[in-house]
Amino acid sequence: MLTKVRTATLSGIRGYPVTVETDLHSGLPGFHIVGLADTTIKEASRRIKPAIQNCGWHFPGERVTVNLVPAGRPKEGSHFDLPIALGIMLLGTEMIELEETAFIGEVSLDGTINGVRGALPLAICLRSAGIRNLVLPAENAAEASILEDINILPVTHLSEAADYVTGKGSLPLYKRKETEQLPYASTLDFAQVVGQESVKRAILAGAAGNHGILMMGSPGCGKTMMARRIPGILPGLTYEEKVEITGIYSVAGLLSPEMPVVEQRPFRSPHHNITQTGLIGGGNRPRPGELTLAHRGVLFLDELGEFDAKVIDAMRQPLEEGVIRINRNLEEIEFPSEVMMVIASNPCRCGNLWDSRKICTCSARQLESYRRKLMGPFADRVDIHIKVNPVDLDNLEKQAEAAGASGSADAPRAAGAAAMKWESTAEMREKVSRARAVQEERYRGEPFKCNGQLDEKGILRYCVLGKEGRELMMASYDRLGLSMRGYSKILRMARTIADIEGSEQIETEHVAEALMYRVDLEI
Amino acid sequence: MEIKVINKGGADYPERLLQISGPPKQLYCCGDTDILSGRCVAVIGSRTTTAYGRNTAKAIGRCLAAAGVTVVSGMAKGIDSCAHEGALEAGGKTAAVLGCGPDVCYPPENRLLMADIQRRGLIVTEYPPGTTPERFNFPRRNRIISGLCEAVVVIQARNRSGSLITAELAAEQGRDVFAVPGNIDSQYNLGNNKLIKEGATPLVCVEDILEHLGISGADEEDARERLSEREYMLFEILGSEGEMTVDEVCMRAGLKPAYVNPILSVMEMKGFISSDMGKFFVKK
Repeated sequence: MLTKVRTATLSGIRGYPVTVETDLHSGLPGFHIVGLADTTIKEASRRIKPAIQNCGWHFPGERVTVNLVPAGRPKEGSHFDLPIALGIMLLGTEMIELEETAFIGEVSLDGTINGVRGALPLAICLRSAGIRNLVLPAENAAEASILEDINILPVTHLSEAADYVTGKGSLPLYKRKETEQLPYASTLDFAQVVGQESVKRAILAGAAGNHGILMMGSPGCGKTMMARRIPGILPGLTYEEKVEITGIYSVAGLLSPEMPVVEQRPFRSPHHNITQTGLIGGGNRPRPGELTLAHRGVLFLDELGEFDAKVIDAMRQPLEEGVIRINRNLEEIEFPSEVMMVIASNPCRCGNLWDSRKICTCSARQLESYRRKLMGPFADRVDIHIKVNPVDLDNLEKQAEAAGASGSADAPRAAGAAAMKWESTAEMREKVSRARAVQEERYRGEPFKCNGQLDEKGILRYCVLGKEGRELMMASYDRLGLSMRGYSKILRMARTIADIEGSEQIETEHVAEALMYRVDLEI
Repeated sequence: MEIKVINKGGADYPERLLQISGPPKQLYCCGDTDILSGRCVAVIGSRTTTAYGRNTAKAIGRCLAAAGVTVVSGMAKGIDSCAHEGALEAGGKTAAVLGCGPDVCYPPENRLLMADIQRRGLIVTEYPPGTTPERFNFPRRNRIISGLCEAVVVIQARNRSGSLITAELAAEQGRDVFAVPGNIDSQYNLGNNKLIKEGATPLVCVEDILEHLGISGADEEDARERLSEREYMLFEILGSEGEMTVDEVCMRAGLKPAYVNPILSVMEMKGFISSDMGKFFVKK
């Protein structure tokens, strides 16, 4: 007597199909699960027996062996409960054709089916393995329903599933509810950030070309406030991106009834006492870390100087390659990590260095070591260095008045700072989208997608300067003592600024503006 | 490098040093001792500084050295190093008075600067070779700095800075004391501004010091000629306001950052303005 039920298991954020084979043979009564099952699955034997009996079914009084195929790959997760339970219940019973149906779900002692982690990646791998119907916990129906060509059959109780497989009942097909989507959290708008137009301009440039940003400024000058608004100006997620990110969040257990599908670009802001595992992922059974949770969104490191130097260093390779590789006993797991880096930092350890009204208590040596910590691993990833000053609205207003009084022809804003219009998220997003569209078109068929990813070859090919631009670069090369790396960064930035301004040619003023954003850590 | 010992009473003992109270019994020298017999001016200041202080120290060092004056300082981080560098850049003479032995480099990161000064100027100290830099050496060292010079210029000093001790000693020794006025909002300028209040002569521009010494300086560059109309407009705004953030400039000029950024950047490359801590100011 043998049954086969199909399901899947997780490896990192990907799933692979598994078949649950159940056999009954004579011998002492017993229940064995084999096939590299982890503790959660082994414990299934204790859950499933009472659950089956509480549903009014008979649990065989003989020897039950469950084998998980392929037997050589490790398997984990409580979602094996449902397929194992059904495998046992179907022994010697009539059943419907299950070749194209798979099951996932955790079973309670009373037969209730509980939600599981990673339902979406499991569904994705089952779909590509030819599964047409997926029976899963009702809790997970919404997230899996983002997939269009697989039938989602939610269950809440083991007996429902048993009725379905024996042909006594049917399961309702889950219909995806179209939720109203906001492209960004509308409560966070750049229009609320006043008097920081030059910083917003730099952030716009960073978002348009996917450049890493380092914001430096005294505590309380608005660095975090602006960082939180960055996801809003990035282009909306495509369907493929939504599926990818929702899969990651599903594995991490971060989906909820309020957010069954990730609709907005992630914004992750790990606290500075985070561990290495927490940031890049890992653990006995590897889980995605903050870097992966920020995939295709923004990773914001506030107070970079406070992070453990080791943790920062561990991010170097993942950031360069866009992928994290973790080796666990039998397999290598990959987590994606393509993020836009946004870093905020005080100018020095005590934070007062730039504030002329306060006293900086740092010694010269402390300043130096702080500076080194800031740049070390991020020297490659950060293209923009913004110096943020606290807004002095009174002073700005005075400047505007002075401009009005002097009758400057270029002073259309002389009505005073209060009446000024500050650039909003919608306006900025419009510009970012346009610049990104230009880049997508230009880099079709190239290994890079945006200016921030341009390698040396790409820079040579796509960042061509005119004569004046070259002269300016040479002058700055001498004056600023730029390194080769700094030189490339400025060219990349100039390309992005030209794209924002809708110019195919990089003009001198684009180079000049890029020079403003140069990474310069002379503290 | 050969270390030369000059004893008090010897022929090449600097004359000015004999006038102060408690002149050192001997001086250990590395380099050209003749430069102490000419005109000497001390340029001193704090170790922690702003770009304003560093630029001014360099400019004054350059200006004095170009006029043939020996720039004397303490080779500490910050202002001192910049003053030496400025003098060396102008191809002039500079002397570093140390608070340790003549063969000890303190701070160690000034190794290259020290070698340069030895080769092209003079290292001088009252401490025998091998003496480590102890903190109590430095205030004593300061009396030599002021003693060797006819005038002392304090660029930037915080409240209770060692530079103020030097200025006080200089006044006691009858030397002229000059101070560079600084932004009164900034605690980095507290000391030098206080000196002005107490009677030090303020330096209104770099060439001022030459005028006081009775030496005529070079002509100021004409910004008007080398800057475009747009650039000059922003240059004037910056000149009138002192230091400004980009947003303040934008507001004042009624222009967007996208427009102002490149102009400021080009002017910085041309060397007319400078930026530090996110603010821009006219380079003097």
